[in-house]
Amino acid sequence: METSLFDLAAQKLEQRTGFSALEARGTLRIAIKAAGLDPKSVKRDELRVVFEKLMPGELERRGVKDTAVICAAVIDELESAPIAESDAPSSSPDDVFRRLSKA
Amino acid sequence: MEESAYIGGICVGIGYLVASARLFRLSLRTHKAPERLLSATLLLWGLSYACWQIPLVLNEESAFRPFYVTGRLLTDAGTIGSALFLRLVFRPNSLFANALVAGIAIGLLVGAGGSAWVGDWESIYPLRNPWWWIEWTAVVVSVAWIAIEGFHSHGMAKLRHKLGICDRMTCHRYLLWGLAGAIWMIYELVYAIQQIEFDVTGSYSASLDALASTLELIPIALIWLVFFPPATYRRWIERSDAKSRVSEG
Repeated sequence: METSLFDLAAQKLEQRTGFSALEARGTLRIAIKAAGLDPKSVKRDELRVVFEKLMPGELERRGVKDTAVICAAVIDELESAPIAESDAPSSSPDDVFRRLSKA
Repeated sequence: MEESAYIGGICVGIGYLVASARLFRLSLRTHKAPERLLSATLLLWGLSYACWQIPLVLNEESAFRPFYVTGRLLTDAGTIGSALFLRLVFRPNSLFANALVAGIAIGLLVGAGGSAWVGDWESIYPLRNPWWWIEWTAVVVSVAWIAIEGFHSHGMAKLRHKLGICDRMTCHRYLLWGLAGAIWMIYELVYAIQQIEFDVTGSYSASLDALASTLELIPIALIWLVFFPPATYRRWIERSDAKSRVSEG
């Protein structure tokens, strides 16, 4: 089965925090939902924003130290990871509604 | 019915047809399914309005039934188109959405077929024709779906907007889309009351007619603001966003 961006980010979070796989996936899911995004179709640039703006707070709440360093490291790893985006950019509702307004 | 009663219907029909033409023109450039589907939906709804207004303009008794039946079938086809649009754009991989589209389509077909079977071809006698309610329920479900997707997406887009990954206008479009669905729902309620009134008295009251016409006009105005917002409206939304950011900061 193909690894999604979500799976990869959860793996990286697990490695850097010492969370279990379940804890890492759950924390990531909460942060992505809090950003108004769908874990199944989250894109790389959106995930970067999640790790920059929301994840440090989520990790602090769970007693993790050096959250900024951890998040920056995960962002770097995600940026360089050779993984296909889960969804074509032109197919999200935002993109469709934005495109239709050009009629 | 008052002579001017069809003016609102003509305005709504023209609104749908022009919106359909603009989306069709866009689809020729983009070759994307959502614009094709929405263009087809609005075309069907626009043509259905034409079917309802032509007999009123002609004032020809024999023209009513064929035009009304055709208009109703075009509305039903457009309603299936709108459900397909929602599935394609908001829930492309959802089995539940597939089932919902199928349920709406079956409800419309069974309702229309049943109405014809009991002789209510125009589907205007809800008290005598139980099939009427099946068709009506399918329409209500489809417009409720529009409202739910709009409001849910607006809530999610507001969160994205706070983080700077969704622009204000896109966020606002979802709200308008949801409002259009909500007003269509209220319209369907008023329409049911109107039809019951017609079934009992054999005529439509002017006040309910005026209310229904207004409720038909508002959603098409909202659809125009979603997809073809005037520059002044766009600027107003962006200015109000800038103001709220300043007050938050």
